[in-house]
Amino acid sequence: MFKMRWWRPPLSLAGLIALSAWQSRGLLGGAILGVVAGLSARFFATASLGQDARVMIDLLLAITTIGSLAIGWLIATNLAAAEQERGAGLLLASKPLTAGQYAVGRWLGIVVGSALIYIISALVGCLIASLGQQMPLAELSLSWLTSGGELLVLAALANLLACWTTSSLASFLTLALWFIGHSIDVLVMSSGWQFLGYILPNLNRFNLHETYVTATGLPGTFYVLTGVYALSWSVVLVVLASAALKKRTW
Amino acid sequence: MSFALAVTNVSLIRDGRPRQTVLDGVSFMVPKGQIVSLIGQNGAGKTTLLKIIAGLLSPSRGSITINSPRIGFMPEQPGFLPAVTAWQWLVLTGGLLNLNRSESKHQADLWLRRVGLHTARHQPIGRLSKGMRQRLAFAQAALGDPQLLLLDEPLDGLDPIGRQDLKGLILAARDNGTTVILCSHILSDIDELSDRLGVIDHGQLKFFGDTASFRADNDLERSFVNFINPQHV
Repeated sequence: MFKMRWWRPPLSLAGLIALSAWQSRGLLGGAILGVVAGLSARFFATASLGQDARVMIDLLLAITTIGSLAIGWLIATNLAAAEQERGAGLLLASKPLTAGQYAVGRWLGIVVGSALIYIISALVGCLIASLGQQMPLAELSLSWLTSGGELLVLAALANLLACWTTSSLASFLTLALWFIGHSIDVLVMSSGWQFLGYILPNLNRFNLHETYVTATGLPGTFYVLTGVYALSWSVVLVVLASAALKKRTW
Repeated sequence: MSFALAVTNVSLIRDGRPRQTVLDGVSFMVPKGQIVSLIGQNGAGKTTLLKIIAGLLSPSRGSITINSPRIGFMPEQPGFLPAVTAWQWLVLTGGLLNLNRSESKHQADLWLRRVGLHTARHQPIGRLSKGMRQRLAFAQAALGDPQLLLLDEPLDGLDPIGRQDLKGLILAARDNGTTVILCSHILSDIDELSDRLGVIDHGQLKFFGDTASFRADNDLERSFVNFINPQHV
């Protein structure tokens, strides 16, 4: 007799979504994005923006983060939302999965699918950009890690939206909320509504590229707090997705 | 308990204007190891009833008692993630059943052979024909050897050979003690497969009993038409 393990069904669901992203030429898209980002970074680093390798890396990370997260969401939210459109959800939900297992599995699938594309694009981009240039790898890795926090929150957001909307609308709304998330500080300052900072995820917290260019580094506790912030928002959004799935009519 | 499934006074009312009664006080009991077919016109409530039994919908009233630790469900239009191969799909859905990795692989190989998809196991599902996907959906429902199989239009879209093969698999499942509840519009297949029959009309169960007693001396299709609409010529 097999042992029932809570984590096995969500991990299997995440595997299905990530595998599908892998086999849907998502990685090829990531690699192409990396080539574009790497070449752009090289061009701008030697053009009017200056010869500073840090400017080049800042630009490179910004391009790969935005681009790969966008590709990742488009593929992964398409897969997650298409469960309902194509009926795959019916096949999967009829297995003895709780709404919580379903929400966690889908979120992990989107995270892994997007992360694969992000890692490939960043690796290819950095490789091209670093040829003959100075690459401070330790700081670069930290920037990657903090972008990972952004990926967790955005995947949770896409997962929640995919409970109601079509795949394309879920991707579009996630992108819209991503822009809002990066504008929270400006919104709070211009409107004076402090509560906006509490009810919407502040994605600017993950935008360390600029900090990295202008400063010499950040304390380790900042990275820990950023990770906790990302996880807290992700948990809230996954719990909401679980509640939405409980009420879903198949 | 010798029954596999007991449906007791199940009703489903959908909110809206006007409120729609999809199922109205449906009750029946299915003994273990039998094939029971639900027939009725389009929109009669057959698929809704299967979804309630599968736990995908909650009834407004009534209850479902299932005397089986595991249920397999094959929806009317099975959807898959097209980039994944048939083998990967079955192995990972085995994980959803809480099977460990080696047991999932064993079950995936076993069922791919049984449904005749072993040679196409590494093809992306998007490249499989409709009939092959239908067989894959049956394999997924039967994965882990459930004691209760719910099949919604399982023979839809299959060619004559495929239909014959799948009917053989359904009968083999019954012979191994699995209880099968199925919906189909192809009444000749129902006649061939079913031990018992349930006729649903406008959300109400109008008949539940032996297939032979419903059919009497007629063929099943004629009996069904006469039963639902005696004035029909």
